[in-house]
Amino acid sequence: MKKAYIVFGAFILVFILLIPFASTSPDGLENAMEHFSVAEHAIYNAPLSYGDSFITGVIAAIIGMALVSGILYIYIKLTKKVA
Amino acid sequence: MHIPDGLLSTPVIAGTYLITAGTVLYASKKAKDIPEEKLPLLGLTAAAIFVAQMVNFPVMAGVSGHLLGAALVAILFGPYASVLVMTAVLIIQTFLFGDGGVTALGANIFNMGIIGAFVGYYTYHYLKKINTYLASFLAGWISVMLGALAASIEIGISGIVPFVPFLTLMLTYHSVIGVIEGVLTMVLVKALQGEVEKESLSSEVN
Repeated sequence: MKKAYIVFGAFILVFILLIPFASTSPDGLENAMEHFSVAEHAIYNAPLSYGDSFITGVIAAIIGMALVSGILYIYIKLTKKVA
Repeated sequence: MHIPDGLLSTPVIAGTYLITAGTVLYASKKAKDIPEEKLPLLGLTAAAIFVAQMVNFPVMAGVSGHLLGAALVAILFGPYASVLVMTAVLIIQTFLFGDGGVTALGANIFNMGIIGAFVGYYTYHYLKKINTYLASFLAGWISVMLGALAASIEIGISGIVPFVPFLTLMLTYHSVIGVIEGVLTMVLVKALQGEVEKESLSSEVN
């Protein structure tokens, strides 16, 4: 299983390095929405964004990754305990 | 492919939240089967899916796409673990980063997490005897296409776009986005295939 840690660790590193090169074009759904003149009506203001520079992007990635993996780990641990 | 707020009708919001809640609860029940020693790797994989979804790649003029990852996680850890990973990723994206609407969270988990996990898992499971490269590529590609199909149906029946032209455009874009998903799924599954077999990373569906 050690190889899997190395592969996913490298995967994360590669994608972090790709953050400044990410396309700013709308994604498939956003483009289709624009094509049909459909706009979103946000009802919630999120506290963070993915950032607009490499540094802020990396900070956003670190916060997001820590929260996602932490919440998932704790949640599964708790469900295992309950079961 | 994150549906924002304002696109879905109330019945579609309610329906997708119900289906998603039921599936996530069932996946939570099945989480007890995930071996303790795989939890750190599952957490690392969830982190990888989160950062991969931050990076949009150009697919054609003026259109970008990003990895979903549900098929990949389902092949490696089983579909229920994949549903939980995708749910965690989408909840953080929605509430912390505003990526995807709060009212559309049920639909987004259904489209990208649940469909991706089960379609990806079963596509790979049934086709791997023929060819593992083909099986993992198609698992990724079909998961994107069916996710886009589901999103189009949900938006279409909400009555804000002409269904067939919207669906056609969505499937055209996502047929290309799906190729990148398929290739990445294929490369990673191939890279970890020995591990999957040796360590039995993938928990079977019972």
